[in-house]
Amino acid sequence: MPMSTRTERWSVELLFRYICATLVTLIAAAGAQLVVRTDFTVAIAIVSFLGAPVSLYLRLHGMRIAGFSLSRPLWNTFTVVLFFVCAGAWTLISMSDLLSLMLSGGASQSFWLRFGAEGSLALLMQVFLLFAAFRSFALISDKDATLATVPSFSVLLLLIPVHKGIEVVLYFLIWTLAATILFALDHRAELNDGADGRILSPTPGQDVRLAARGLATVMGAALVAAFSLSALLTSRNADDRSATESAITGLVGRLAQFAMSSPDSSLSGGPERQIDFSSGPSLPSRALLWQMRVWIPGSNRVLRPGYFRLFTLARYNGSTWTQAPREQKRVRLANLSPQDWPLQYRFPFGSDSNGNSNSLGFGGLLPSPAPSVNVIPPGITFQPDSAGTPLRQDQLIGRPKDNPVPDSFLGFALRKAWPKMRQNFGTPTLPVRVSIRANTNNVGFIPLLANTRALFLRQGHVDELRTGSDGAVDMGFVAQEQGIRTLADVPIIAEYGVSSAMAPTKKVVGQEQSPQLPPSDRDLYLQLPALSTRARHFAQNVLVKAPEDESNYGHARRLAFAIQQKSTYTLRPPIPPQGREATDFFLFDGNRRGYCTHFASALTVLCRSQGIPARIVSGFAAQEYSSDGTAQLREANAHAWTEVWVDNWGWAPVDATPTTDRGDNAPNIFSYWGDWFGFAFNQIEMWSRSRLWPLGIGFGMLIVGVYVFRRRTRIMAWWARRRGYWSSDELTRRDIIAAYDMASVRLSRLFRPRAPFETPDEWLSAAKDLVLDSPRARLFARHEFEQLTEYYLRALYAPQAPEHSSVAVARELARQVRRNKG
Amino acid sequence: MRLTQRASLLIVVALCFYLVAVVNSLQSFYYVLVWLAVGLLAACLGIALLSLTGTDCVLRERRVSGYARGELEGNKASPQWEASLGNSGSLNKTGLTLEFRLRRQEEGGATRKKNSLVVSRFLVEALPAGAKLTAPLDLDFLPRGIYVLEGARLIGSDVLGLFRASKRLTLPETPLKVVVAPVALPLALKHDFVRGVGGQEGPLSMSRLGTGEDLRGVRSYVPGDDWRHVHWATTARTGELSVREFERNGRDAALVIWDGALSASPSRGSQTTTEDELCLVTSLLVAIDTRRTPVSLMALGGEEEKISASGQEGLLAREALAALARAQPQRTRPLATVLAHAQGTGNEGSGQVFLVSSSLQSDLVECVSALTARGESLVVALCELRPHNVLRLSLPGRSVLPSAFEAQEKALQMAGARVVTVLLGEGEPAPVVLERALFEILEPQ
Repeated sequence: MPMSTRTERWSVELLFRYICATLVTLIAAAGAQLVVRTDFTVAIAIVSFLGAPVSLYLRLHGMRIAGFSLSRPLWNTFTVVLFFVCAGAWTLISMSDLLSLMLSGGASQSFWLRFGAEGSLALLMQVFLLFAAFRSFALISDKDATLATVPSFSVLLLLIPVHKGIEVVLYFLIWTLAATILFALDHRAELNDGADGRILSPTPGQDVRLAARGLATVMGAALVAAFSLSALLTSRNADDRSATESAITGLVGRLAQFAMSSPDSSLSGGPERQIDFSSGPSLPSRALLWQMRVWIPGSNRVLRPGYFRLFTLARYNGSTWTQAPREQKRVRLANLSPQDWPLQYRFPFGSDSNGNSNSLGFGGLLPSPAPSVNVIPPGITFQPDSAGTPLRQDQLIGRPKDNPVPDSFLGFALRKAWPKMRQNFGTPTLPVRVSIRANTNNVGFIPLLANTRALFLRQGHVDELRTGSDGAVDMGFVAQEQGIRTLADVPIIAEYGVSSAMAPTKKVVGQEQSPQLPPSDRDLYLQLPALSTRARHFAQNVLVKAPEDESNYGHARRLAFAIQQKSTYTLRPPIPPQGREATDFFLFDGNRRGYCTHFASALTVLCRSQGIPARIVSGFAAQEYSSDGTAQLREANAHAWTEVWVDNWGWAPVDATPTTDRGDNAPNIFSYWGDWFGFAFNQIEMWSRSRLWPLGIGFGMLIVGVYVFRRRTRIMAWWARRRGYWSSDELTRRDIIAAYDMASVRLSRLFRPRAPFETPDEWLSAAKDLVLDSPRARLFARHEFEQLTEYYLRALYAPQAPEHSSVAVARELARQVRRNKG
Repeated sequence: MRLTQRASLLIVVALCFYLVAVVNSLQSFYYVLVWLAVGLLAACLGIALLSLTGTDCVLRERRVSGYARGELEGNKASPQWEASLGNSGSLNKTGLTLEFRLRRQEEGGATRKKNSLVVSRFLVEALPAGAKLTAPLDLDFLPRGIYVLEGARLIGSDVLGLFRASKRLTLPETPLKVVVAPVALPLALKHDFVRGVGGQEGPLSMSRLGTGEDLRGVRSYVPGDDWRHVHWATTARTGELSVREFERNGRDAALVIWDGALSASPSRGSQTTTEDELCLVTSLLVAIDTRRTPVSLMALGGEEEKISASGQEGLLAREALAALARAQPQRTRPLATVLAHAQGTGNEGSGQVFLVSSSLQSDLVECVSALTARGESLVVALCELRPHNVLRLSLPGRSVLPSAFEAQEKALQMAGARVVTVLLGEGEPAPVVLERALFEILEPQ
């Protein structure tokens, strides 16, 4: 397109172009404020608002301002130079810390890690925004306006890896709308410029209307395709994906890895170290963090635990759960080889086809599927209790006397190094081996099974780790591909994939070796802030039906069930108002909408309110297993559940989250958008709950207003008739005119609206020529409309008003036209 | 179907989105952006494919028109083609383009010459479903010449211009031609050279130009007389409505000659000056023809032929328009020889002869001398229409001309012709100069 500086005429199309060109920049700025400082984005918005009118003024006046004529190349150069100066200054300011550290040589590795990708991307976004803002002063030609989409698109694209929230997608959608309008205007201008002549549309402005309708159709179709294809093809579960999508995604991933020639360098710290209900969730990705394989040593039996623990949260202040000040123990690494792995167990599995246990020697075969695994010492016959009664201590093998853990066991003999990390989980237990592989760089806690007592690294550079009395292990930095082996004594309960048995629902009789909760821990795990009376009553009412001999575990299950009633699992829960206790809000005012932490928190608080020591456990809910039994732990599988203390038994896990939603934090697009809509409706419902009367009155008035508006002519006529303002002739004319107006809407839609310069006859004649003979108009009541037109003309122009009976005829004709009869 | 650059860019963008999402293991909702781009492409593709469904176009030649007073905006011959477009589909169509491939005819009807292909496009703003449109195709943007339609097609696209579809149109068996004649000056169409400027009686009232009638006297008005012939002075004096009476003087035809000399000076025969000269010639023809005076044309460029320019109902004849469209400054033989050849053996008087030339050669003077010796009434419009910076013209009203031009003017005057110099003054646009010359030619002071 030639660079023309001739004076142009004002037009609506020109205005639209500049509005859209400014809008794309503003949308990019709005999106960028998720990452960069708000005052910066506000400044960008102000500059863009100023620049667009200046550009428009210059364009309309042929690059003349205040009598001076500006050279367009010079003006463009001026804006670019201004951009460079500002961008350079801003970069220096933003990187002043870095520069000073670089110059002084004090930049540590942690600084680089911290600055890393996110900092540089944010700076690049700011540079692009500056470019867009200053270029807004130089949007002289149509192409300039269209090219304004480039920096704004770049900003939003850079936002994706930095923010990863759904808001980015929304900003992109709005940006796409504005950019599409720009491109459509551009295409229109291209067609106009390339034409040597024009064949005008049948009515003025019809081409604009049809083009707008076409654009709306394209956008609508694109949105529908986007959401439906995304829902069909992009599934949260790798097994559900179509073969095509899996192949494409796998190939693209491999190509990208090859192109970048570097392993994934993302760093994961796992779930947050605290739960804060006053802020919204940061939605996890589907990044694969850990791969866990659990098997029984000495056999090929692979277990599929449902939970892997990271750490516990014990302190609660009403809106935030935090870790208790932990006792930590440093354990130092020693060299280790797999040959030193101490336990080689082979277990008999005792169930015949009738479900009776067999006394088998070593090497018994496991019938599949095994209802439970009974760990039986050789020579002992054991009848499993189908109700899941825990096995007696003497019926179990934890460490056979003839094969104890050698004192010289190397690696992290956690239990040995840290006696406080004692066996405090339910007995009986089964020793299992766990192979852990880090799929990405991680910092902090590693996922473990309960009662991990030994750990060693396949290779690595970790010198020490920290353990806590709650069984958590913090290894600091775990590099990608790091392999870890652990040995754990897992309770033989369903949560750990060992058995279908449950923790005891009846109180357990204490024995000498029964685990006990120290008083200080008991106080910690019963700590509560001020809790509302109704929350306490809620818990009391639930437990009033419990039998006397029910254990804490049984109580907790009752409370969990009660919490799940009328609850909705959502990743967009309402945020409690400041000062409100989160559990009370969740149970009574938040429509029980929340995700795992809400459910876990509610259960823990209610348990504590009833004197049951409880704590929140943060970890992973394993949802995805590969064919060889390896659990794929993704960021989206982060989960929180509750552990309650069962006297004389230990900590028992209780999960209050509805079963189908555990560890499912990256659902498919339909669920996501459904969640959004649900959130929006819920917010509206909560807001309107306290405003029912005003809303009801307002809505009623709105309906009345709409009715009155639609009937305004008749109402006015009735009122005028009552007042005697109009004669009966006048009323007759008006009624016929009203009937014609109503019927002519039908022809307007079928053909086009009557132009101001057209008489009704001319309009009807044009419609007959162009449309009324086509198949589209086969249902149109043509003759009735012709008659109605005659009535209309008589009503308008005849010296004597038609008879009053004509009104009914005209109305009937209009009705027939509108109903397509004839 | 053609994929445009924009569509390719969108495909790349969609791929980039996919790569970004996969590499960063982004949540599933990010894939919405990929499918949005794909959806845009698919929707636009569908619309582009359907843009020509049910659309048809028939090209026809309209009755050829010449210049007609009051018929048109502007001053060119009215369009000679029309397009009938119909949309029998159920989709409204916008942004259709009707594209023509025109081949310019050269001398002798040859068309295969390099750079003679012209592609022109007409934008069809909107074609609603079920609509039928018939629209004239205004082809006066084409350079002067005769064009033959080689091919035509309809091009449809989607609203974003991502895809283009095209459909060839069936051409009529007889190839369509369009004749683009030179522009006629507005003065030629609007001014009554008999009544003169401002309605006053002009000098031509005594001897009406080329009408073949001289003023005989004044008589009383009889119902049916042309009211424009009312003699107001007599009417005011006598109190009785009086009209002028004319008698035929035998001088009832005019001849307009354009001297398309291939000048020895390369800078003289520029395209612009030729177009301006032909504009003057055309305006003369129009002005004379609108007075219902038979007028003939000799465009003595490459052709040597006398053509009757008078058409029917006040329109110039098609042959004259074609001659004007074809005219090129390619005369190499002496003007008198060419003129004689063009006039044929007949030596009849032409009433009034108008000769438009920019030649500074002696053969022009010789020819003028021969014509005046024969008793022809001759007006020569001697043109110097080169741009001002070439001629160093001074202030308006006083020009400094090359001596050859002044000499030629004197020689022509001495040869017995009335000479009207057509000079491009400083800062004067050519149409103003030409109109002034036209007025001077037809209404000498």
